[in-house]
Amino acid sequence: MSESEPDNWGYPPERHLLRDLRLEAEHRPDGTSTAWIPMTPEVQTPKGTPSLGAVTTLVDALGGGMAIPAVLPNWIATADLTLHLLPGPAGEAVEARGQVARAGRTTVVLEVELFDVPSDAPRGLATMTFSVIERAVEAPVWERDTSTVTRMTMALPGSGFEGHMHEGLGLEVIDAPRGVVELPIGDFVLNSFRAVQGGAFGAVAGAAAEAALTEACGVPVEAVDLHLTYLELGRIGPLRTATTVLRSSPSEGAARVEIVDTGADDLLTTWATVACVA
Amino acid sequence: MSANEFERARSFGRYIGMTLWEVDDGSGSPVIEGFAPVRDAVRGPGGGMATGALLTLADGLGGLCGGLAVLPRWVVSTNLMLRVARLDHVGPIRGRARVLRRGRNGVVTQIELRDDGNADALVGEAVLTSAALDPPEGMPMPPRPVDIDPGPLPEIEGTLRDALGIHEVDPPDGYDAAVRMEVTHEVRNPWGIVHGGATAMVIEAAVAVATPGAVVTDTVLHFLQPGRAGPMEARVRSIDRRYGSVGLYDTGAGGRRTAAAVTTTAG
Repeated sequence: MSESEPDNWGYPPERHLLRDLRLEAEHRPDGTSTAWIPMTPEVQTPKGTPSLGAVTTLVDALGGGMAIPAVLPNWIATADLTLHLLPGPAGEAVEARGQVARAGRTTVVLEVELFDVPSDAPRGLATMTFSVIERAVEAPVWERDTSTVTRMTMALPGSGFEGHMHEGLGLEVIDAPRGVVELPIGDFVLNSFRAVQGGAFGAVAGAAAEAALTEACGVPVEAVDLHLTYLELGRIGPLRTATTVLRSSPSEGAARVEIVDTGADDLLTTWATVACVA
Repeated sequence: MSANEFERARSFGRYIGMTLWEVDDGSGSPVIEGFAPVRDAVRGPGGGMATGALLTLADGLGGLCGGLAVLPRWVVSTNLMLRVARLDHVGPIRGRARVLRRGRNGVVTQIELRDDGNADALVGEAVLTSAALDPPEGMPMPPRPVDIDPGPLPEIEGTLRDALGIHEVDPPDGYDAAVRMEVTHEVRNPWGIVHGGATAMVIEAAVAVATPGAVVTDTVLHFLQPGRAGPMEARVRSIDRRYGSVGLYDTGAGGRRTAAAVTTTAG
């Protein structure tokens, strides 16, 4: 999501997940970074908790912007992302503060602390692991000046969701009790490699778990905790979930969500488990 | 070297009586099954096998499965994620590990844990990500198919936590709790590195000090660097009562951080 990425397919298009989230990020020379998204109702649960998908996208975007300079001239592939949100009404924005926990020859591990704005109250934690890979020819040119503070946003005048984020993504619940959810793959959710943004998988997994666990728990639940392992890229679509309830009670539950790319012979793209609370 | 000698030399898992064997399911990828008894020394406050012991079992199953998947290379664990389905177990806990993805530089395995004494009730699911590396010179390779009996369980008075000498210490500023564990031969693997299972147990112990009466359910554990010297010190910052952010430090190696974890507690 660097400002210097080439416009090789017009990335990002005028309407894009990262633009509509109105995500803003600041990267500093000491390797730390901070990013924010405003907490409008479109990116919250009915109870006002920040949406798992929105915060996953925030963390994913922040992490990518931090990990790439840590491995240059190599490149990165996201291996896993975990997110642990505290439930409860959001503030005006969620702030993500990231730091590199390890930058090794083969992996980079990031830790992210999440806070409400303006209260500065803790909102949760996240971690990410990136595999260090050889830079592919088609990888974006990455030229951010890491010796100075860089502040950037992808939002355009008029960016923002018109309905709930899940509607903007085109998420469709096919079978709620079984946690079957579909996501069409279009330019709105693609990254610069024309594969689905890592954060969008959080939205898909969260929606599938909420659907299945609302049935299993017998009460409406909201997704707050995500363990996500990226296995393959999602390129064709639609993405489709298969959900298995791992535990359920009237107060909380957890489910496994497998996400396949139905347009690629049901290729297993992502393995996730999600915890939800009532 | 026999399979048993291979595993006994390699694994901290003998402390939980971890028995492992290889299964041919026709997929062409290795599948590892195994079990561990739920004896009093490993019971947690939820009544069943403590989460640190479940992580040890998952690490053993998934690590062996991943290692066999990348032969002649071997693996080092980089990330272990566990979601617990229930806390009360009859035992033994039976596990099965299979490959989710095998890449050029690593392997991802999924581990399912079930309660053999409770109609195969689901105990939890884990995912272990491992990096492939060229094995150290002299590392023993397992004969195939792998079939490992841990031998007699070590005699333990009290809990396994007691036996490992894990004890509470004053936390540094900014932390809510801390515990220490000496690094002895018993908690090292053959390369002198603190075993992933021992790492999980000291982290769980620190969270128990930070949130008395609570039970660790779900865990994300990142292995950052090898711990060798010790004592190892686990430091917890509680984020509300639900989450704990835990760092594990090798105080004998300049205090470098060897692992980072996020735990979820219930109760």
